[in-house]
Formats: sequence, structure tokens, C-alpha cells
Amino acid sequence: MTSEERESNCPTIVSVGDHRRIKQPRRRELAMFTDRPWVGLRTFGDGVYWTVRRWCLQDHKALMYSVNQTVSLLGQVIISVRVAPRNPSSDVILPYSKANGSARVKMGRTEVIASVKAELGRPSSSAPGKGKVSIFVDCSPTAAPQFEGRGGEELSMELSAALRQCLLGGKSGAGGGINLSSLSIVDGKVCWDLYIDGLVVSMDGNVLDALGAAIKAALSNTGIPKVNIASATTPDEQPEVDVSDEEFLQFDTTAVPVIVTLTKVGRHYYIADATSEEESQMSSAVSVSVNQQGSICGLTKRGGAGLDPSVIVDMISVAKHVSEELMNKLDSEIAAAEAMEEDSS
Amino acid sequence: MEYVSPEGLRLDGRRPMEMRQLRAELGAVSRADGSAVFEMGNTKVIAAVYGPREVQNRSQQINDKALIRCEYTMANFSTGDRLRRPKGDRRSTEISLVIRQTMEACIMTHLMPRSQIDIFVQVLQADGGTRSACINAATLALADAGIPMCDLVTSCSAGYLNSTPLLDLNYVEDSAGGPDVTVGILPKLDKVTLLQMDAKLPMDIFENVMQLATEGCKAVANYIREVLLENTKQLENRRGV
Repeated sequence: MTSEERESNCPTIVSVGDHRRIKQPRRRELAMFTDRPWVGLRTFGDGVYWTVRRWCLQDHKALMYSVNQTVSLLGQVIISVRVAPRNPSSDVILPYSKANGSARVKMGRTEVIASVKAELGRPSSSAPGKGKVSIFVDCSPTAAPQFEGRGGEELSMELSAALRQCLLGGKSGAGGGINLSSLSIVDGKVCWDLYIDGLVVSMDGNVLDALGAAIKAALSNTGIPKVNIASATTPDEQPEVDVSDEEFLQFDTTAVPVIVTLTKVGRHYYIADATSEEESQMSSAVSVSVNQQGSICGLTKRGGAGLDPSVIVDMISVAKHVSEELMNKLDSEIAAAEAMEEDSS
Repeated sequence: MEYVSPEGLRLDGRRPMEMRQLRAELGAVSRADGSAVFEMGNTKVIAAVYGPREVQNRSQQINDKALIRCEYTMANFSTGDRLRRPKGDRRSTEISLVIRQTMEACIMTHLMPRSQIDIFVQVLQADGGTRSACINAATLALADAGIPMCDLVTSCSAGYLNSTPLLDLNYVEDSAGGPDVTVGILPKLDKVTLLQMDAKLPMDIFENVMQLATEGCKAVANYIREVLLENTKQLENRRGV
């Protein structure tokens, strides 16, 4: 693409430096700017000013590279605000042959890989009729040099804990996004152990959302092998289990939630899907996990600044709006990737 | 077990002197100064280079050369059995050291004194030949970062099973218990920078196998040159040259 073609592909943009004091729009309207994700709104003091953000398509894989034109006002540098989430990229599913299900999600410059492996195991004595799920996230040093050695451990722990809280239910296993009873094979003796591994390959903010999307995509791609159970001779013996190589049961992911993180920047506005430069300016962030029915499955608040309770309630409603859009986009990308996989196989 | 059938085909249908399919992509990690994804068959590796930048640990600073650091990590899901790998286990440390020494030989470190270059290699899928794939990916990532090198470094492995020298072993052939020779060369200068072997081989057969691996390295070098040329053409187009 020549540079002229690229310019014409980019939509027209409000001029830079046009500081007009505009009446503050209601917060809900901000979240609905889904058709023009490149127009930024930022807040400074009590007013709202327009800034410019341009998107350039580097190649057909739609890697978004944004050139930020920030306007310095009264000595303060303000970052433009983008309220609509970036598109989860087309390259959603990667057929890693060794895993039962896998997905690779690119949101802007953030890239994460999730893989699901199922192994036979023993259920815990407190929940004999349920399988087990464990989630681990690893931050690769390729994402940031400070993750070398054990540097990424802290962030990995935080992300794993947040994902566990959002996707798995309470201590009794109730209310989780994944139905644990469907993973049981023989009550009290044999069950499926699902190991969900996330790997952060490239980091540009909003890693939690990308991981949530990747895990949802990987689970929808997961096939649990069919199992034939030979009857045990005595109740105490381990029954023989024959794992089929041919037949697979698709995992049910309708109840798996997506995670939406809203970061509070400045005094009035929240950003969905913040890049790392936006995250560096945040005062606090709330991560909400919402499922298809619109129910909240988990909530985490990060950051030191205190938030008014009414603000949190408002953020939750904004997150619900954003999550609907994210879920629809994710479902369409997963369907497209699965269709592509079937065509190529 | 038969690793080479009577017709001369290996387990995955290749000929003994045939390499697996190569695929490379530059610029995978946008935040890194240089990055590349390299695939040799089912082995997939991503390398990212950060640098040259200021030395983080002042005590390690070298006054007349750049400091090269390297880390090799494997993803949890990269191998068939999911192992909870503790970071910094022996094998990872050894391979990190090997990659660092190999790249140090070709980077012109005297041009960047008092600085640090970090090479991070992450294995996404392991199917034999991870060491070679890592070195090839690191070469591409360094080229993508624009770090001056005296030559490319390419690497390939070869083995000897069923009395046949085999090029580019995959995991099954590697675990067969036969010898595994990994060679890393500077193709234009025709020098060997890495040579590792396990198990045992008679001397004359060793020369054959090493020659085969060197040929494989040269083939990888040709492919890498094509990829870099293609990338430069794309950059020219984007800049409107």
C-alpha cells in the first residue's frame, strides 16, 4: 500500500489543537463510540478536549500501529483516550498439535497464547463428582526485558489469581464458568484434570482481557477425548480407562465469561482496553468479568487510588456494554478461525 | 525400531538428506527492538532482542565491548507431556549459555561499548532441533534489530540411525538413542562456531554427519537471506523508496 492509499483508508479526523470547551457528555455515550475507535476524547480539568489518534495498517494482518498526537496543555501532557476495545485479531486459533485446545489472540500489540491440556487424574476427596481445572500464566521475557529470570513471577501470580477468580467459581466449585461436573469420568476415582496455560508473548497493556479472550477461545477449540470405562472388579480398584484417539467431545463454553478492564484516567473518564502508555497514567483499574447472560462473574480492583462506590457501579454498567461487543467480536473471530482451520485441514 | 524404511523414507516421510519445512517471520513482538518467529517443521520458536541499551547491572559493564545476555525458556505447553518447568532448570541454563556464546562470536561488540544486548528466546512448540531453531531465530531477530554482525549464524542438526546419516532430526528420531550432532556455522566466512554431539560415533562417520549438518546450515542460511531480502523490499515499499 502506498502512503496515499493508507491516508485515504484512515477516516477523517478532527483537527489537532482545536480546544473547544464542550459540555461534558454522559459517560454512557462515551462507551458507545464503537464505530470510530480512532477519535480520542481526553479530559483535562473540567472540560473535554479532542485529540487525534491515527491508525495505520502495516500489513494485511492488521497490526495496529498508532501515532499519538498529544497536545500539551499548560505544561501537562495528556494522553488520548480510546474507549472502544481494540479488535481481537483474526489469527485467533493456532493448531498446536500437542494441546487439546489452543488459541493465540492479538489485541493491538498485545499478544497472548493460551493452551488447554486434559490429563487423567483423581478427583479431590471433598468434590468426588467434579474434575479439576488449574490456570497458570507465564510472562515470557520476550514481552519485556524485566521478565527475565524470575522477574515476571509477580505479574504471573497476579494474572493467574485474577483469572482463577473470574473463571472458576467459589471454593465449592459453584458458579464457575467451567462446568466441573462435566469433567468427571468415574465418581471419586477418575476425572479429567484441565491445565490451562497462558503465555504472554508481547505486552502493550490490557493483558488480562487478552488472556480472558484467549482462554475462552482455547476452551471453545478444546476437544476432550471420549473415554471407555471397563468395569472394575472390586469397588476399591482403579477402573481401567481407555482413552479414545479418534472421538472428541467439544467443550461447552457458553458459560465462560470474558473479562473487561476499565482504567480510570484523570478525574472523569474510564478507558476500556488501555495500552501500556495509557496504563502508566492510570489511577486505578477495575476488571469485570461478564458472561453471556450479562451476569457479573468476578470483580477486581487494582491500583492505589480510592474510588467512590457510585463510580464503581457506573464502571460495572459500562463494562457490561463493552463486554457485549467484545463477546460478539470474539465469537465471530473464533467461528472464522475454526472455519479457516477446517478448510485447511 | 525402523527409523529409515527400506525404500529410504523416514518416519515423517522425508528422505534422509531432506530438511523439514522452514518458515520465518520478522517483527512478531512489536515492542522489542528486533524479533522473529522461526519454524523448523513442528518446532516453533520466537526470539526477541532488546538493545543496545544501557547496562542494567553496572558491575557487569564492559568498557570496550557490548554485554550480550541470553535467556532460553520453554512454554508449559511446548512438549507432549505438560511439565511445570521451573525457570532456570539446568537444560535451559545450558542452552542459554550456548546461544549466548554462539551469538557473541558474530556480533560486532566492539562497536557498542558499555551497552547491553538482550536476546530472549521462547520455545512455543518443541519437536526436536530446538537449539538450532533458537539460534536461527536469534540471528533473524538481531538482523531485525539492526545490530551489526560480521555474518549470519545458522544452525542445523544431524544424526545417524539405521546406518544412515539423517539431516534435521525431529523429536522421535532424537530420542531414539542415536548420536545427535548440532552444528552452527558462519556461512560466508565458512567457520564453525558451535559444535555439539552426544552419544558416540566412529571418526569417519562423524565427518560425514558433520558435513551433512553443515550443508543443512548453508540451506538455512540461503532461506534466511531470502527472508531478510524480502523484508527489506517491504520496508522500501513502505517508505516509498
